[in-house]
Amino acid sequence: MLVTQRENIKNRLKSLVLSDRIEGLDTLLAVLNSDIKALLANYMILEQGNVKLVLEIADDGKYHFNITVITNRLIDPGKMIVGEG
Amino acid sequence: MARSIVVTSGKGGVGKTTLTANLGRGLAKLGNRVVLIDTDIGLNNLDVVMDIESKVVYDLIDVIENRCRPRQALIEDSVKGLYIMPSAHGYEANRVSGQNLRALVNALSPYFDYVLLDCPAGIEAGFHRAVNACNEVLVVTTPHISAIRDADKVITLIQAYQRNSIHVVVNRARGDLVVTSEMVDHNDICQILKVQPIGVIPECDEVNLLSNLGLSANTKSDGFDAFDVLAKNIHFGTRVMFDVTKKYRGFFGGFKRSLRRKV
Ligand SMILES: Nc1ncnc2c1ncn2[C@@H]1O[C@H](COP(=O)(O)OP(=O)(O)OP(=O)(O)O)[C@@H](O)[C@H]1O
Ligand SMILES: [Mg+2]
Repeated sequence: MLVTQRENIKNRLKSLVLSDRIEGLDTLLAVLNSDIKALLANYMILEQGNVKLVLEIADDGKYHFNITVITNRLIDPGKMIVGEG
Repeated sequence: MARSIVVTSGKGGVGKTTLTANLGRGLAKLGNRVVLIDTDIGLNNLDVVMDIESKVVYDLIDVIENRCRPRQALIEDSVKGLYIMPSAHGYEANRVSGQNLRALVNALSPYFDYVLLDCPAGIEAGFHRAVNACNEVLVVTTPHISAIRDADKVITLIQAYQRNSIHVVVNRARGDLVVTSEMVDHNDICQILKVQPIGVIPECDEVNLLSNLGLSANTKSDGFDAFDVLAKNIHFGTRVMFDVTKKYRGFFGGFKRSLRRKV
């Protein structure tokens, strides 16, 4: 019974820490998402919902970012705007 | 050049000041020249724990505002090689910038082997100032959920600074409760935090009394031995964990556990 108490605390702690990390990551994700969109907009025409950024925290604690981009129009490389002037 | 180490925690009252003082002593006893800087401006306590509050002439703000040289503000401890730079009472903390503190650490570095910064609780300006001024970080936590959660947040913030090393010290560990599996131990905690432990300090009455009596009081007990082990780990790069459960294992350990409960 006592062994379970330590395990209980450990599990509770794990889930709390994990949910804290995810909460903090929400802001990061929002910023990253808009940065990625801004960057990609130089290369393709993006419509609402064209860019999807998904973050998963693996069992080893590493962050896995998966970015999915869908477009049907790439910008002609010759017309790409690479810093004017 | 000195190794600069900030002692931080997130949650208040987990033992940053106590640890800074005792780690400083431990490192000095190994023959190092050590300076402790109290960066908890306005809520400073390091001078009281070190029992030097009556000797303070100049403080951190005097140094930063050029009213004296850094060396003039240093107070020598009874342990050879250990110096303290006290913080100021009642000043506005925003009179010290991150750059000021970094410059002070740099100015002291050539003369010492270790510069230890006692950081204020929380993750506000005082925290960022202190972390920014150092190359290494010690995160102190107790084995309690609230402290560990805060430690995790602090570690995430510190990772953005790309410091050389981040280590965790578990303070106030209860060997009696670990033996009976009622409390998590340093391995459980560090596994969750994903940071290497560098020391474990037991809950200890003698250490607790020190905040009232000052460091010149009796320093013979488990707690102080554990601080010495921590100092060696930091200095020699070893990873020996003080065994907080030793006392409470075996036949006599059972008696001690039940005694501890009654206390
Ligand atoms: N290992 C220990 N055993 C027993 N008491 C301890 C131990 N470590 C710290 N304490 C006690 O806990 C209290 C808080 O410690 P301390 O002032 O060092 O914490 P702190 O993290 O610096 O606090 P703050 O966030 O307010 O600066 C003090 O009374 C101290 O004596
Ligand atoms: Mg303190």
